[in-house]
Amino acid sequence: MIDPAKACEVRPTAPDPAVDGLLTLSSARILPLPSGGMYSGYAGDLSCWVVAVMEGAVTAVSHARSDVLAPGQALALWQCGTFTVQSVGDSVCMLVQLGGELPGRLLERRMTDGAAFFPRGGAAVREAVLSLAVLEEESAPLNGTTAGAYAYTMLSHLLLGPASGGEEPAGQALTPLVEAAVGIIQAEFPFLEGLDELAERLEVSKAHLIRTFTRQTGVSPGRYITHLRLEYAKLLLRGEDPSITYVAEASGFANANYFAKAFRRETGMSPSEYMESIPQQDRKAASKREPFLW
Amino acid sequence: MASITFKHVNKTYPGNVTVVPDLNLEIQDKEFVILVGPSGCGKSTTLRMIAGLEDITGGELYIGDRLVNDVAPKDRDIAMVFQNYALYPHMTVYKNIAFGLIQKKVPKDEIDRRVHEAARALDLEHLLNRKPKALSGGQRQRVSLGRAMVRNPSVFLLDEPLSNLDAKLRTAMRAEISRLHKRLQTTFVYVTHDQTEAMTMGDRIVVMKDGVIQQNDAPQVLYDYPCNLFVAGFIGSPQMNFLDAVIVKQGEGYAAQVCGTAVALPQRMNEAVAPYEGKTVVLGIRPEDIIAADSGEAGPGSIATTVEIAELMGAEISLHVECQGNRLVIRTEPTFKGREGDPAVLTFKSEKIHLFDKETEQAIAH
Repeated sequence: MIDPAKACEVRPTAPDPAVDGLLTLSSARILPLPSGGMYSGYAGDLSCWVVAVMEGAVTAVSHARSDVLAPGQALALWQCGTFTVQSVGDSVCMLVQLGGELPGRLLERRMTDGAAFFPRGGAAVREAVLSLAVLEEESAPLNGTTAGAYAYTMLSHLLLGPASGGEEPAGQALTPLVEAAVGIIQAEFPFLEGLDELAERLEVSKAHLIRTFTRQTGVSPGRYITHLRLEYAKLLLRGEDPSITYVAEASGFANANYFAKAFRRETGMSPSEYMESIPQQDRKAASKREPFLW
Repeated sequence: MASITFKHVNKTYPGNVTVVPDLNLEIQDKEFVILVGPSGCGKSTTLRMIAGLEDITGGELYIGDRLVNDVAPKDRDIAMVFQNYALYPHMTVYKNIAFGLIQKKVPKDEIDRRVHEAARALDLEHLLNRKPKALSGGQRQRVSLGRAMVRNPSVFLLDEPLSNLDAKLRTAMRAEISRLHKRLQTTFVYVTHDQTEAMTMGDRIVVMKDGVIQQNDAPQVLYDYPCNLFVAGFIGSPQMNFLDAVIVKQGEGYAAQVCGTAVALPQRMNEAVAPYEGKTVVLGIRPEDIIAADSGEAGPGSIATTVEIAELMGAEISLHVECQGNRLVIRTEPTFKGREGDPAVLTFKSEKIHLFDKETEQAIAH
């Protein structure tokens, strides 16, 4: 019996040469992450990673885009280079690493900036990962060609919808209130005064908002706002010659000191240290993506 | 130069959802163009494509002579004003207006000059030390405008900036924005779902539906010569009245058989209307183009009916009547005496009749 919340990794053998280069499944894993926990991967040439969230919420960031994934959602990253998955609160993710031409061809029409988002894709990924984990347990090592077949099924289900009779992950659908809250937060996080303002706009009490939001996403709305502000700050820090004070204020923090503290708490680094860690060639690419304009 | 040109631009989201299939549009330098249409028609997506906040799936977008498909938003020399103001709550009005200039390292005295100039133009000078929380909705929106102004952009993009304001404030802010356009002599692209805003503010209106431009013309032309049923029904408040009518021969010309009477059509319509003889078309007539009499008999070409509701507006009365299954709204003089249940005799101003093909919904004649 596989525990879907416990860390586990499957690494199949090499597939049959007839399919190698077309579709391979290199690894599948269940990845619990503590709040702020990070996982970095690399999607090189003919490489695709599929990230799905089972519990909590994560951000998935590549050089070209930044996505927030809620339970039941999945993101496929194709040839995007380095990417990072970071947990907003405590979370459980599933990651599948694929190789070959086929993932890119199948996902091409769904992709923007090297990624394809599947709002209900979690079920397909969960089914694949758990099935592979069971097979590995029963007959290790798992045959690569068999794993490839599961990869194809997973991609088909992502593109065509969940398998009929498949089990939906817990907490998948967000209620209209939480969906509206997420929408406002994602669009306006630098400009929100606080949760009182958000609750007033949504015409609910602050307590009800916090309770409902936290229950469905695994993270409080305040924490989520801070998290998005920090992710936006990272985007700005990857730009060309940013000032820390400007980044702090543009992200919605009241001042640079408070920003620096929140940044270190989340990343373990100061904003300056983070800036220094960005390779020069990644800076220009990031500056194209500043979403706020006035 | 800040003209904007869309050449076969399309926007498709993941999952093959096409919101803008094939957009061709030219906006001249210094023009005030309004994109109007119902929710989901693609107007905000079009605006966001100009801003660079949405990637273009196909086609070409030019600002001036420059192809900007892959140009970052901050490098397009545009400024945007949003529905929800987008003001930093922890900054004063002064700093909110100045923030973009601070980021661009504009000299302090130049920042101060521009902020005060904008604040003066927008009557904000006495509010510069306040924070957004202490401002009214109209004041916050003026701060947003000020922030956009100080950038001296080539293009202003305004995305439903008045939607969050009450009716009285909206009227005042409409005039403010029109004055701003005249003062700045800059290209304005303004998105709204409100046809009153569209009619009162723009040099030109682009009516959109399902990502497709229905008509693109000066406000009065759209009002007087709508090209199809959608534009005819969308522009004008109260909405144009629509009735099914059968085209019949009448002497040298034609008439529209409607509500039990034959309404003579102007001679200029003869050629356009001839192919429709004996067929059903849609007759459109604006509320102000129906004459209502509160006494007398209905003669040839007039319709006898009963008032269902009389809305007293002060300067006019809005009559709601029912006529053989058709609901009509008429704008009439405040001297009209009839009220609920009283008779009314209606006469259509024949020179103001619009006819539309029932199947294609395209205009036949005006």
